[in-house]
Amino acid sequence: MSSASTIIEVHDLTKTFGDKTVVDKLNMSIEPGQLYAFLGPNGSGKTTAIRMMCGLVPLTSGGGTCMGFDIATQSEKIKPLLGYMTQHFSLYPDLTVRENLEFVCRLYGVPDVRRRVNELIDQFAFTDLGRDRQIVSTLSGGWKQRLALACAVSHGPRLLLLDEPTAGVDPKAREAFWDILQEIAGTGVSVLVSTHYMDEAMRSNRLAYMLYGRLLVDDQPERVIGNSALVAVQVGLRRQLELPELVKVGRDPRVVRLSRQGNSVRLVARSRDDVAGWVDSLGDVAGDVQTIDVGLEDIFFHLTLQQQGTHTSF
Amino acid sequence: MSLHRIYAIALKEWLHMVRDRLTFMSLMIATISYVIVFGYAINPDPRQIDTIVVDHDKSEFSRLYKASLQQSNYLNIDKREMTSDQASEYLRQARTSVVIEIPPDFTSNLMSGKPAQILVEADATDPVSLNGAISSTGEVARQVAAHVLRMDALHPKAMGPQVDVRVQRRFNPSGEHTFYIIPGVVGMILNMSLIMMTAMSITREKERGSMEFMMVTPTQPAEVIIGKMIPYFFMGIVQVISILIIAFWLFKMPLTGSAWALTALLLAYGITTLMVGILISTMAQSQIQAMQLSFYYMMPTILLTGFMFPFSGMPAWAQWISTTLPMTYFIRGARGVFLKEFDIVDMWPNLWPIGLAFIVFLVTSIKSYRKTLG
Repeated sequence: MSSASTIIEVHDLTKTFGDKTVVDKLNMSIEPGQLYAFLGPNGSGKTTAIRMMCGLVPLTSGGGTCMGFDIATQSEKIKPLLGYMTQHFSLYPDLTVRENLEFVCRLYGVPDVRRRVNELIDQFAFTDLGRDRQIVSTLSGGWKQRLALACAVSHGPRLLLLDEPTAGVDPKAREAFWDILQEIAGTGVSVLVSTHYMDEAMRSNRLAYMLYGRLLVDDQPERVIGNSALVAVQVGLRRQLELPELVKVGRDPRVVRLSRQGNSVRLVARSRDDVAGWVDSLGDVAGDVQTIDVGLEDIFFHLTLQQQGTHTSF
Repeated sequence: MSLHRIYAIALKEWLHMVRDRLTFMSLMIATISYVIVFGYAINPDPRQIDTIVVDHDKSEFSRLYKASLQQSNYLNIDKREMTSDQASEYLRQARTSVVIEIPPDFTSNLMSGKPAQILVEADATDPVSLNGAISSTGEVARQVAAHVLRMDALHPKAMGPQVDVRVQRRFNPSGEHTFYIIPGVVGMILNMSLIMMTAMSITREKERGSMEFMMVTPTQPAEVIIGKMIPYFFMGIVQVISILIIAFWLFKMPLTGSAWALTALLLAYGITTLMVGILISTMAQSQIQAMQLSFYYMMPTILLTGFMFPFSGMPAWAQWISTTLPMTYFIRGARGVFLKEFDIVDMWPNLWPIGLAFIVFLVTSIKSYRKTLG
């Protein structure tokens, strides 16, 4: 339902390129101060949806508002209130950190550029090792992404749209990036962030899972896991399974997801009965069976499976 | 050395080439069209040079002379009647290349056996085109005079008719090739640096993805275009000043016209050239494509604008192509202001076409600059 305070509200948002529907009747709403994770496999339409929400890509049909402005006709009003990070690092590698920040502040018409840049340099810890004067091409991937985020918030936007900001960044740098992101969201800025990392999705207030241009899940991460009936077990193996055997047991219709670990297999199934039945079918190869946590990834696997109607390996 | 690996690399490269439609098509189209156009258009020994005959004699000789010159194929005689002053002004404005003046006493001098004079004024700011033309005027005059005398059955005592052709090389009397080349070089250098640099600078933003970032900021297309142009514009000014210093000090190039006219021409041409770069960048998807398109644009500006090969030597359709290129007007204007005393009024016919080209390029660029990603 639309409310005056909603940051993004889209209904039946659709985009087609030729005869290919990339985003199919997307309905979504984002509340102020919400950290919203946007998940889905590559090509599921996340980037196009994000671009439509800020008026960068024209809509085929449907519509919506972003911070109270129409996304189809008022993108000029939306842009000053928006911070954006593209999928690939898109700042200037031959300029220094400070020069990049100054450039972006000037584009947004920030009144006191020098003061704001100093604030950002402190906030994002660029003063360590004099990184603020470093040429950007010499920074590590994690620091580049941190700079891109600093640029995206330079003008104090009400909404951040981040398109896979941590792709290819090491776990420690990702964690640091998300610490900052949560801090920013804590100040009342809404964040929509697309990601492939489930640990990141768990750190958000709400998540959406998109597949083939359609939204399959839109809920709090804890509830997505809590509502799932899936069961996950780790089954020890008395001997290594040969490949044909593994393929055979993997294609069992009771299996939602099967992955071979070092000396065991990890199984996700729809119920405990399915697990028991499947373990029986292994015969004397099966060792100890231990129940483990179901993850978001397992749930999305299941959803993808339901949509495709067949087993797929990722 | 492994043939397999060479094959693998060659095959992959071929796939890159044919997949890049713009490059592949432009390569094919440029090859075919440039061979045909330049093959026909370029003639270092030009024929059909535009010529005005100012006929004060109005005699059998002058009528036959005009007809024979036309037949000689070297010159293209303007059918209009003009006074000496009008013809001189045409020559200065580069609307004709040669003016032949037949004095009123030509026939009477010829008949009475006195030396009969013909005055040939040639635009020597383009010396290449004129050597053949100048020699043909004398040769044809002597033949026609002999013919006229035989017709009248008059045989002066002398061996042949005494026709004296006085050639006046206007605007560049010493025939300095440097003076003829330098205005073109200024244009060429501006072309090279401004078109290629601006074209590549915008496509670089596209390749890096920073264009996508700029498009979500409140930045307007016109702001991007103008902001991109300013530094290159200043670079162009530095280049022009350097060239002028070298031209004046080292080559002793004269500036016979007005410095204002020269400044106006340089500014108009510089901004228009930058706009060509911007236009190319809105069409090209990569820096390589931008470089190729710049090159395709520059080929005709070198070959068809009168910089390397005389304008008057080109067939009419090629001259028409060159009237669509701003460089043609730049070369005319620059030669005019350096050598032919052009003031701002004389410059105007060369300024407005450059300005028009600027507007056309500007409108096309803004239209084709993609505000959204499609």
